[in-house]
Amino acid sequence: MSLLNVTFYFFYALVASSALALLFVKNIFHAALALLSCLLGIAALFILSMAEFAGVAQILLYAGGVVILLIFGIMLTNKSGAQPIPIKNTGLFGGLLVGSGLFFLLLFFTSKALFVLPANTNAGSIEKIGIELLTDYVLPFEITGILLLAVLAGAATIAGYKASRN
Amino acid sequence: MPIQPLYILSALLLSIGLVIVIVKRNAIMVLMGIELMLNAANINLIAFNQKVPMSVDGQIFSLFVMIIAVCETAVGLAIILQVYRHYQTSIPDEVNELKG
Amino acid sequence: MQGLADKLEWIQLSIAYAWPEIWLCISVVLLLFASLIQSNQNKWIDALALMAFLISLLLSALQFAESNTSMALFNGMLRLSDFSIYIKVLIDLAAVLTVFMSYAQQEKKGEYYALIATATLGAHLLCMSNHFVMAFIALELISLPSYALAAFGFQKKSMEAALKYFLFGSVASAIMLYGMSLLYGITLTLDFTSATFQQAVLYNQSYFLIISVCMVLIGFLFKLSSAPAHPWAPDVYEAAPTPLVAFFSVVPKLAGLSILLRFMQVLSLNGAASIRWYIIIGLVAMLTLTVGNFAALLQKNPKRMMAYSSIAQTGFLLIGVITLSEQGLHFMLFYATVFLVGNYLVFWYISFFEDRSISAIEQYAGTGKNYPFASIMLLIGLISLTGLPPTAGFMGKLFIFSSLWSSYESSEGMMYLLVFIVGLLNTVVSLFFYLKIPYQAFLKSESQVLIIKKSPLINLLGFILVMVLLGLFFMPSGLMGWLNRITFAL
Repeated sequence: MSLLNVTFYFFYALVASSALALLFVKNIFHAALALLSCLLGIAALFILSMAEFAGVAQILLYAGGVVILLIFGIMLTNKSGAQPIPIKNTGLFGGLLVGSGLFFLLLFFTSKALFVLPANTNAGSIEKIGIELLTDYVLPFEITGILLLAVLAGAATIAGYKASRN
Repeated sequence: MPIQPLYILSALLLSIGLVIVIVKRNAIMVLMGIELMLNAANINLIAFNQKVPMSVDGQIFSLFVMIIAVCETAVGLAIILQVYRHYQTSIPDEVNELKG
Repeated sequence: MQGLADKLEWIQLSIAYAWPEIWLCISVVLLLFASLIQSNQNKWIDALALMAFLISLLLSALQFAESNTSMALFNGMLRLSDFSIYIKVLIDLAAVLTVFMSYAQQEKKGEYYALIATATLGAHLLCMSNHFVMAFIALELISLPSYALAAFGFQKKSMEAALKYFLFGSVASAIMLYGMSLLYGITLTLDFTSATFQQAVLYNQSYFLIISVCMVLIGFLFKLSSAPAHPWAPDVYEAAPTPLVAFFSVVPKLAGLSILLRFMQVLSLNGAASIRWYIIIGLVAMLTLTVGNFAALLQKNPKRMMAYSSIAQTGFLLIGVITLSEQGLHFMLFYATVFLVGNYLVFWYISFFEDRSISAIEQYAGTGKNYPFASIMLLIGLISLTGLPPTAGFMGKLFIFSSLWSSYESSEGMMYLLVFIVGLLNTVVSLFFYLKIPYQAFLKSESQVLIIKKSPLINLLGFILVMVLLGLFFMPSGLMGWLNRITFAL
């Protein structure tokens, strides 16, 4: 087993175990930390799969953006000074049934065509991503800008609204 | 890196995300479940991208997915914050003024 | 780098065909600027929004008049065709009508209209998209502003509705995304109209393909508010502001319908596919019709009732996707047009009566005597949604069922016959709940004193919509003449 493989399976186990931990933790803050380690592990898997840019973006956007937002959300919705809200489960049996059903459905019916690797795997460089983003993907790229603008305006409007004027 | 283990991992993450969405009674926890599901799709996109030589389609799609995930979290948290202000809870079951 | 120069030239050429979308981007920014200097009761923001949507309607209509053949834009991200342009015209029309209805919106007008413009832009892009990346982003461009807009009543209830809408929608789009990633794994391309995609689909007619396609369908069906992805609709419709409810019940539906149709057309491989996809859509349509109509019978709130009604109408629209023929497409577009007009008419008067604090079906008692004109207009709208003469809704249902019948005759598929029977039965059922409000209005006498407020201007727009409905009944050939130009090559 090469060093690369060992690293790969180390992060693989990290992602799988922290995702499972997310399912079973009782404290919501611990859940956020489990999510963080899961997302960082996924970033490492991306880098090992020759997608360096996506890996770095994963660290910046998910670990640096989404998780921080979630932690802010947790802090803002906890009554100050009170004990953290324990997470309750309902319909655990049904949920696990649906989840494991989906899991085995996806594994059982997998077509072999999914895993055929061509002879030369050649991932694109960051330069290639840049060129593609501004040629083939220029429209989604620009539209995402509009989306970010409108969504942030909308989120700020909702979050900042106080019914004081009436 | 081998594709099959990555695919199994992504199926696992999707299923765990779905279980969290169904089972957990906390809106922020449900949001985390949704993030897991989006990440499952991202792992697939990156893994399958290795099959196509000289192409970065999957990687670019995953970048867009990350941006959308950030937007979704922002809107979701804004709504959860207002729900909390009105109901003093972020537990979907206790938010039930509308029937159904 | 010859390829690169070609791509850049293609982008430059594409801009000339994307003016409605570019204009909508500009209006989002303009409206957000307007929101910075607004105060309450600013009528000029309404005027600005009205102008923005009228210009985009004009630009789309001009595109339709030019009669393009199908062409790919922006390096294959979008495909502009008569079909998508017609859907764009309908979407812009809906946006204009929404602005007319929004006179009652008091607070945060700039942001309100900016978010509507964003959702309209998303709908424009979704009905043209040709590529999974574009479809996903366009879908989110409709969804994310919609979640925010659902909260714009700023009441306790609307926050709850927005939360449900958000959680449901995010899960649906995450599952759809996973389906897209699986299809990418199978076909190794994200452009789902390309030959590579079709070839790969042809070689992989397996259960796995069905699973991945069904996952993608969940996202589309959520936008259509079709069963089994419908439970968000009644709550959101009950709590969101009425103009937005009218918007949600038409715009995402039309955009989702067009992407669904295009996707299904690709998957059917011009009949070469061994998986019969129309069976899946047929099951969805029958479930949607039944759930929508039977649940609507039990409702006491008119907006909740209209939510189930719009779910049921989705079932009829899906019939156009089942038949998957050029004639079926024309009839579906005719039905969609009639549905848009009838739906807006009904919501127009529901909001009219809401202003007079009538918000439950029983409270409509006696309105026929106190507001005779408004009640008759509402009656005509409801009759059109049921599909009775002399309204265009009758012609729409007639066309839809006749296209379904001819599909059955040509292919002898049992599914077509089943959908036909279920559709007819449901039309009868729908009569009972659509006529609940007119029954209260005309046959019951009022129990309490009503405050009568006159408002001739509001009735003018209602009258125009009614004239359209009646006109399309007596002369459907006018609209059909335009629609016949649309070819099946989407």
